[in-house]
Amino acid sequence: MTNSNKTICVVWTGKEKQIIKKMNLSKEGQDVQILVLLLGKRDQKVNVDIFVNHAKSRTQSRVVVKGVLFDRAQAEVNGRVSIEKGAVDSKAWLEAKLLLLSEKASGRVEPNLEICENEVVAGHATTVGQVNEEELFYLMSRGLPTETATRLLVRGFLSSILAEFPSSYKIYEKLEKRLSHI
Amino acid sequence: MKNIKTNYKYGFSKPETETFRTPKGLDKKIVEAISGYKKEPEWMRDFRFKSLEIFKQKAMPGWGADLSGINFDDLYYYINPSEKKFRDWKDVPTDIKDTYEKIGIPQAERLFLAGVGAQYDSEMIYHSLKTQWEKQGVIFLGTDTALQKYPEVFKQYFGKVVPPDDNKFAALNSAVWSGGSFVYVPAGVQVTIPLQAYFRINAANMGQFERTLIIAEEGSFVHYVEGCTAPIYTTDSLHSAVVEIVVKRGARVRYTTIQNWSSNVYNLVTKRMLVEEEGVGEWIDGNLGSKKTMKYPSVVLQGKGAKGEILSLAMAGAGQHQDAGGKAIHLAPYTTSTITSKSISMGGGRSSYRGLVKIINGAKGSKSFVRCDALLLDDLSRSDTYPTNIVREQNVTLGHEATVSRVGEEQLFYLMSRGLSETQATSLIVNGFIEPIVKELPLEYAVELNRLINMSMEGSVG
Repeated sequence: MTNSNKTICVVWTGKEKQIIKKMNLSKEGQDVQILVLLLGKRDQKVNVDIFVNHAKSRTQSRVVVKGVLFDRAQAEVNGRVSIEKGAVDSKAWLEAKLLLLSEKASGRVEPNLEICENEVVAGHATTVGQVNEEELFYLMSRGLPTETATRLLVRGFLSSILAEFPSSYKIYEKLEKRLSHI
Repeated sequence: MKNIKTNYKYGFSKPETETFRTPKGLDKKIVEAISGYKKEPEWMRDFRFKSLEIFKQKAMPGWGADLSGINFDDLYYYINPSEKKFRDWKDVPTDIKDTYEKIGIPQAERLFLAGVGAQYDSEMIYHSLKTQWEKQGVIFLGTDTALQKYPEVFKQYFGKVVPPDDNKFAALNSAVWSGGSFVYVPAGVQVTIPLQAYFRINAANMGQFERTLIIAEEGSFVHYVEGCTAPIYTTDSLHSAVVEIVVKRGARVRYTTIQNWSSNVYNLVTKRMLVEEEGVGEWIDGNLGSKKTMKYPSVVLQGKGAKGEILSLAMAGAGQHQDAGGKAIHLAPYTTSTITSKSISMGGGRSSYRGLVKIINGAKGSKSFVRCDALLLDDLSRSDTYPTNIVREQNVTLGHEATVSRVGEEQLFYLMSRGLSETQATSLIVNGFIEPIVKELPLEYAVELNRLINMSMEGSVG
């Protein structure tokens, strides 16, 4: 049996209104990773809809959405991961984390799981919030101005997902461009 | 009581027996009859009429459990088994006593209760309240009696936390409500022993629409416990309650429910608390029985520093769908909420966590954490998680985590190698899984719950 691995990467910098990714894992042992990075500013809005269906056994999915929202930017993330009956030994992970960098930024996260098989491992985690005040305070007490400290914390928040993107996405450049905004 | 309309003409002749029962089905005449029979003030009758209109207009929910099996025309909306209100245990009819004996109420009464409101069909028939609390000004009455005795307080709060247009079933309850409990705790009073009420459905096709209203004045504390057990019937029944709670500044209210309706009951309940500044509102909600449950206890945190906690436990066996969860609405700064959900699906049952956390703009410094864990005991069952998290404010912390798993083979193997049977081992693991919620229950409930789980494990494993 051959394993088929696939990684889907999405970077949003405000152009699209909607991002839809659908994956049906219909081959035994199929693997998918969906990585979504959201960098929103001004009045940019995005709806992210991700659907993953595990139809066969030993399938694996990992969905990670990380977003940084400036100004009045808004993000709505809807994820739905289903595991069909019979898709034994499957694994699913769904993660959505949003960082709000302005008072007017807002987010909505709906990570749904529908599990019809018991021999599986499935989980999700979401967070929505601002940069950690204590960390910010620590950096500032070391002499960094607020802006630099915030930039550092944003880079830290995104570092795990950034490292997973292929270099062709020029993701660091996009991020730095957006961070210069702070 | 001058505002009570006395010249009301009954829409129905009073039956010769002691029992008053409306015919099957629901229309304005039925609502009028219920209101008239209870000799309600005009405002309440109008409220019922208005609610009935809303009920007719509202569509059935297009999400959650499948409710297509409910036939609203085939239900009784009001039955009163006994005209008498009992103040003393010895005056309670023997057959009712026997039923409660089986559920274990008498001991609980002696040991743990302060006052008991036992609902037999639609009326509170037994009530006792310890004199010390009467002296402190605590009111614990059947909702119908409270409307007659304390019309002003009642009108001030009734229908304010859950208005009739909130949802179709809140409208239905508002139109035909009957029974339930009314609790009023004056400022600064700490009610140290939980108030308990047992509800039962026991006539076939009987819909129960109890209405509970709890008001905790500033700095007070009360723990209200509600449990349900129902015998088995052949036809479907509907239970659609509304619980409204007002937690004033610095007060704390805890509301515990163990729902164990028989497996033909549709259990569709709206429960909500309004929590003012520095107040604490807690829901402990266990759903074990019923055919379909849709219940999402809510905390509306409207005062600065208010706190809400929801513990939800759901067990779905064969033919059951438990669609349960919780809602936390943060409307003020520095409010905090936690939602913990534990669900178990087995024998082809389905349990869903459905939840909402909303933090509005301006609710700065608010924090919310949601954790839901699901245990799937076999490959026939299903588990879902439908959380919605909305944040409109930057300065907040919101976290959500969920896991779905089965009973670990290694854990099972270990326990069985120590001499436990598979059933015993599974029961032990399941009891461990729900322990964070069980430890918050009053003792007799925890014992009852453990027994129930052990009972339902028998035959489900192996």
